[in-house]
Amino acid sequence: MKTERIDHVTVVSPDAAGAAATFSRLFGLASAPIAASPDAAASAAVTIGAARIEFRTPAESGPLADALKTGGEGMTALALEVADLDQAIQTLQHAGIRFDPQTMSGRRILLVDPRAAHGVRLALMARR
Amino acid sequence: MSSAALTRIHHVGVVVRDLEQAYGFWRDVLGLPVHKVATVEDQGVRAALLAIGESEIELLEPLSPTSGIGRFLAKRGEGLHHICYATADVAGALDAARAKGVRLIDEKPRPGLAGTICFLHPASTHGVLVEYAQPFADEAHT
Repeated sequence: MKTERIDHVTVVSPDAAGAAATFSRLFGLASAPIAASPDAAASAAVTIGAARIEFRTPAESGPLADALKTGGEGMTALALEVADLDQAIQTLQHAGIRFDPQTMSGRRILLVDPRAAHGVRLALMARR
Repeated sequence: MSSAALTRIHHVGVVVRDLEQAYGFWRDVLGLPVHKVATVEDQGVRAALLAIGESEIELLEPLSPTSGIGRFLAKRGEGLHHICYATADVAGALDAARAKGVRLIDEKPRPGLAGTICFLHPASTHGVLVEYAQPFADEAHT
């Protein structure tokens, strides 16, 4: 598999807009556009280099709501961009790793079984 | 841009039980090359940096259950631990954070695996443990 860059880190927060504003103010990071997510009630993002930090306030239920409940406010997921998503699928299958293929804002992603990714909620994304 | 500006994600830290076993996924499945491995005795950790684009993934294995990383592992299990920003001036960046009222873990920068580093307290940053790193001059990644 050719994994090319960190696309984004996701932070779960009861106040996504406030958290993004804090990161802008403290770290001098510009705000970035972000698509809505079905399991988020509110979303915001900042840019750092080639990557983004995404802030999500969970909807009433779903994986994000669970993450906030069990882990509290903080980093909850990591998204990496791969050169070839079909090749990534083959590599995961060959390694016997489970994953859930999805589409997010028109972009194909693979949600990798966190048990295989050492506890990390990991998304592999096709190039934009 | 001030030299204390935060320019990119230097690395994202992930706590793992066993470094060798973690290579099986992060190096062998994802294909990330191991860039540097070191034991940092005073932090009670064995760590590896794996290159990805302009950034790295840092895998952290505790040397003992009583180290900071060991306690994290016992309490929360394996998973995401911290985010580190790169800067050309870690002392300046730390001063700027202090001036903005951020609670600090390190009052002064100190040597670490990623260069000269310091940690901010997650209480000021929405539960996110943030590190700043000024890479050593001979190890500029990009």
